[in-house]
Amino acid sequence: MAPDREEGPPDTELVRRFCEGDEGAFATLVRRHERRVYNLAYRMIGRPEDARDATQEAFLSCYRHLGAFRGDSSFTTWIHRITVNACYDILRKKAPVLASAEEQLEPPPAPDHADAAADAVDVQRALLDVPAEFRSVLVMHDVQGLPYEEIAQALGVPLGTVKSRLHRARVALGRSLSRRGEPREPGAPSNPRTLRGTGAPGQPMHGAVEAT
Amino acid sequence: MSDRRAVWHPDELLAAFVEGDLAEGDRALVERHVALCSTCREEVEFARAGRLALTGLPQLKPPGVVPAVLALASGRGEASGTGSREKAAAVSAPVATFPAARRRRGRDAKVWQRAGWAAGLAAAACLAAVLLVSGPDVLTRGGDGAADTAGRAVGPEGGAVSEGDESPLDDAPDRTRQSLSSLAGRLASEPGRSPTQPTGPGATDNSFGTAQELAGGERECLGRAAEAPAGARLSYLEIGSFEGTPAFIAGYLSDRGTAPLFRLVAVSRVGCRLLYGIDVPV
Repeated sequence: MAPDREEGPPDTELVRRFCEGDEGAFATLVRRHERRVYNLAYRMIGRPEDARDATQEAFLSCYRHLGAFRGDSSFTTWIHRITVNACYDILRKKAPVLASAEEQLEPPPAPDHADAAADAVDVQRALLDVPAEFRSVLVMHDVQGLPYEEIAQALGVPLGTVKSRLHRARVALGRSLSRRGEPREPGAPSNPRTLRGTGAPGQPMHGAVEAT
Repeated sequence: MSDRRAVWHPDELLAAFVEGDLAEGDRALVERHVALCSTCREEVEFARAGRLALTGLPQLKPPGVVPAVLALASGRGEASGTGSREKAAAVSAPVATFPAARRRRGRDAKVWQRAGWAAGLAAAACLAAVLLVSGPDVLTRGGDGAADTAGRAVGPEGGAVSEGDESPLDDAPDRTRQSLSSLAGRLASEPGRSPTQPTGPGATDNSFGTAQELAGGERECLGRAAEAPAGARLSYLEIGSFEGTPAFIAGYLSDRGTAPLFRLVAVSRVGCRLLYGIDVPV
C-alpha cells in the first residue's frame, strides 16, 4: 500500500504545534492517521466495534503522551506502536472472533477478482488464526506496507525478529487458508479458536442486547 | 513439522525470498536450502499463498473518531483504573431505565461498552469532576425553569466550560428528570405537531433551524447517543443543559412500524453521552 500523500504541515510540525497548545493540530494528526490505525486494528481484532474502540484508545493515548514524544522515531511508527498495544489489550480480554454476518465490513469481491484465492471474509477469518505477535507484523508489512525497519522500531524488536515473524505469520495464514478451503467432513468441528468466547456465528457478542 | 531447532533454516531470509527481494548471494543460498529441505519448501508455498491472499484485502473507511477523541481528551479525565471504574458505575445511574426496563438496562450497558471502556472512564471522570466542582445543589435543583444565573456549567478545572456552554437562548431552562418527563409527555401528545419540523427553543419556524446548524458530526453523534430507532426523525431540539451539564435535549419521533414512539433524550454536548432518556408511546 503506497503511503498516503501528505497534505499540509508534516507530522513533526503538527506535534510541535500541539505541544504549544494547538488542539486543531492534533485533530489534523488524527484525521491523517485514523485510516491506517483503524485498518491495523480491524485486521488485528476482526470486529468493527472493538477496532473502533482500539482506534479511539490509541489516539487518546497519543493525546496524553504526545508531550513525551521525542521524535526518535517517526510519528507513524509511534502511532503504530500505540495501536498494536491497544489491540493487544483488547485481544487479551476477548478472543479474536470475526464479526457476525450483519457486521461484515468487507465489500463483496469485484467480478474481476473472482480468481483470487479466497474472498476477504475468509482471509480475515484465517488471519485471526495467526498468533497475535505474528499477526501484528503481518498486517503492518503485508497490509499496511510498513518497511521492516519501522516495524522493528514500532515493536521494539530486532530486524531479524521482524523478518522471521513475518515469514512464520505468512506460513500460518497460508496453512489456515488451505485448511478452510478443504471440504469438511460432516460432523467435523470448526476451528475451536474462532468459537471461543462467543455464541454461534450471527449472535451478538454483548449478550442479550437487541441490535438496532 | 520437523524440529526446526535441529536443522538450520534461513527464517530471516525466507520472508524476503518469498517477496523475490533477496540479493544474489542470499538468494542462491536460500534456493539451495529449499531444494534440499521439504519443510521449507512446503512453508514457502504456504507463505506465498498467505501473502497473495492479503493483497486482496481492501482498505476500510475509518469510522471518524476525531469528535469522540477530542471530546474525551479535552475532558482531561485520567482513566486510572479501579477508582475510575467505580466512578463510571456511579455515574451510569442517571441514565434512564426506559419503560422496558430490563431490556433498557442491557442497552445502557451497551452504550458504555460501545463508547469503549477507556472512553467511558474518561468521560465518567470528566462528568464526576463537573458534579464535584459544581456542588451537590446541581443534583437537587428541581422544578421547571430553574436555571443558574448565566446558564453556564462549570468545567472540570473550575473555569467555565469553553466549548458548548453558549446557549443561544438565555431562557433555556436547566432540565431535570422531572422537567424532561413532563416535556416528553407534552410533546408526545401535542395536537397538530408537525412530523417534519423540529420545534423547541433550539429550532426556528418552518425549517430545521438550529438542527441544521448542528455540525454533521454533532448531529450524527447525537443520533447515535440517543439510539434513535431506524427511521426516527429529529422533531425537537433544545440546546441547554441537563442537571448542570451542557446538553442537547432532543426529541425523536418514530411513528412508523408497530410501536410508534417519541423518545426525548438529554445528551451531553461534550463527549456526546446519553445522560437521560424517556420513551413515550404515541
